[in-house]
Amino acid sequence: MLTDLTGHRVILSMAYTRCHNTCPATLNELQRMQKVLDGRGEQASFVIVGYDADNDDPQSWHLYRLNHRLDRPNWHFLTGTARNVRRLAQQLGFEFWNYDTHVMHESRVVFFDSKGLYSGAVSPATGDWTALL
Amino acid sequence: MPRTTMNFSRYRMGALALVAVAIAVLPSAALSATGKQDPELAEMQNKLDQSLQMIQALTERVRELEAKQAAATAAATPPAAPPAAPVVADNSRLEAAEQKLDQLEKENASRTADDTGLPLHGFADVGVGTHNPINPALKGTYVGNLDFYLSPRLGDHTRALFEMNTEVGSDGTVGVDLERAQIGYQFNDQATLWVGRYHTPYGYVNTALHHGSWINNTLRRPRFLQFEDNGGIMPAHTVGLWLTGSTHVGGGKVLYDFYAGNSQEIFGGVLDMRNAGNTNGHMGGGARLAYQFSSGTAEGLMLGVHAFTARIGDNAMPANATRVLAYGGYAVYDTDQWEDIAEIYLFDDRDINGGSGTHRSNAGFVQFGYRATWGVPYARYERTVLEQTDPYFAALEGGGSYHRVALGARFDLDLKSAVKLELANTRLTDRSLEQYSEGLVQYAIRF
Repeated sequence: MLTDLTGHRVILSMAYTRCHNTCPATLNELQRMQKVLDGRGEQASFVIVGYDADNDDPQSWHLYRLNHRLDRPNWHFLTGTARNVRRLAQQLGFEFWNYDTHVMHESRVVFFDSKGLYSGAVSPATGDWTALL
Repeated sequence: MPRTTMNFSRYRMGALALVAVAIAVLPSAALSATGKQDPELAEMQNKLDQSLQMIQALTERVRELEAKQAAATAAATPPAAPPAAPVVADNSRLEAAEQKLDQLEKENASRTADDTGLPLHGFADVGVGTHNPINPALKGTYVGNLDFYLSPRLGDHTRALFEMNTEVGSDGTVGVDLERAQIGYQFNDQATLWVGRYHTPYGYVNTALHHGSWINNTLRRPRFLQFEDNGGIMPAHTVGLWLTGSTHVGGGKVLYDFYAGNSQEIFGGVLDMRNAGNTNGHMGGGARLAYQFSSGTAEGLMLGVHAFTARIGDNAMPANATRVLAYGGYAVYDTDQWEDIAEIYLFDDRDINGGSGTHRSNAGFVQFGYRATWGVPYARYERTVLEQTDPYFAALEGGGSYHRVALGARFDLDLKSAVKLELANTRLTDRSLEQYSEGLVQYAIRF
């Protein structure tokens, strides 16, 4: 699925639909990135992968998109098996674990260029992403 | 620090790979050159010289990057590092390797304070009101909590969670508490065993919220579910072992908790969780079981039951001892729009030393919150009916019965700060018959 995005710049983060604190803040930062790109007339694909494979099914993401007004076609909300999600997270440096009803995780965004090559990562909660955009 | 080591190793491997390339390439180049004393050989030698120079330059670059990284205060999560430098001999491939190193350089440039390997989050709040939200005898401006929340990154299975909270007591003194200090082994997603001091898993609020106010949509917890030193009647913390996990069942998830730890004791009217162990060796414990609906019309709904028991004594003369048995249920409806919570606790406490028999009490609250675009308005009703002849409640400073109605709203000013307003009316119903109204404002942040 991710290989389908080759040819576009990709900005990838992880989130889960039940998160009402960190994830909305991260997505808000992604929206700010989108605005900057729009201002420059540049294209990018935004990819959000669900941490919680049990709950983040396509229907949940669909509702999430509607509720959070994240309906642009270049925004992709992906779900996968728990194993694949964990593998992807490990490869991209997203650390997470389940605690009670939450997923303990950091705010992190990874950038890929149009060839699919990694070009950097940042924590939008504390870091400046403008240099990577 | 292991992260740093990992990254250094990776970069060093990149450099070593380049050196290895040189070593591997040179003999083959030399062999192919044997017996050809012609311009072609000279050209090849020239190319090799160029290659060696580039390798040397790139090796220097790697050293530079290592030095930069060593100087950085932040040690890192390795952002999905690009593969090690390719094994190459020709200039074009060396250029590719150089590009890879440029990527490493970008990584270093983008490395932020967050990539420390020791995620530290902070929460703080201050406020003003007609009363202090915890101690209604106090009025005016108050300093709330300064809470540091650490979840260091460890191995694949070991987890750790620490929470240090600085709070101001009723007498204005500042105290620091290690509110949570738990280290756990995660066998898989279905089971984690924690050891240490943790939030006792009963109901929803006690484990869903920590001491930082920002994370809570309401201005404060229900009064009877406050932390021990703020007048709570349940032991919010336990020092012991806790097995917890969840598993996918049907269209949802079953969550379970079993725990056992030091029996709490009451000192000066406040529950103490006996951080270092207790002298009598008594144990307490309990369980919680919940089902979280993940699909269909009930998506977002969680229903649970819980039970807790402990032999809790106090430091009165003569000392009381009570077999506390609390059990009940809770329901949570948590969606993008709604945050509705209801919890009920039934007490069936037996007086061990005094022989006054068994005492029944109850406590509960219901709260409705709506996540609107402009903020989160909420309404809450809480009520306790606590038997005052029960030596457990009689010994607790916050053990009196009350009713409270609260209306409030949370307004997020930005991603890291929120202002909360609350109007509340509280009626005390046994120890005194006082009634008071409150107007409270809280400014809460995370950082």
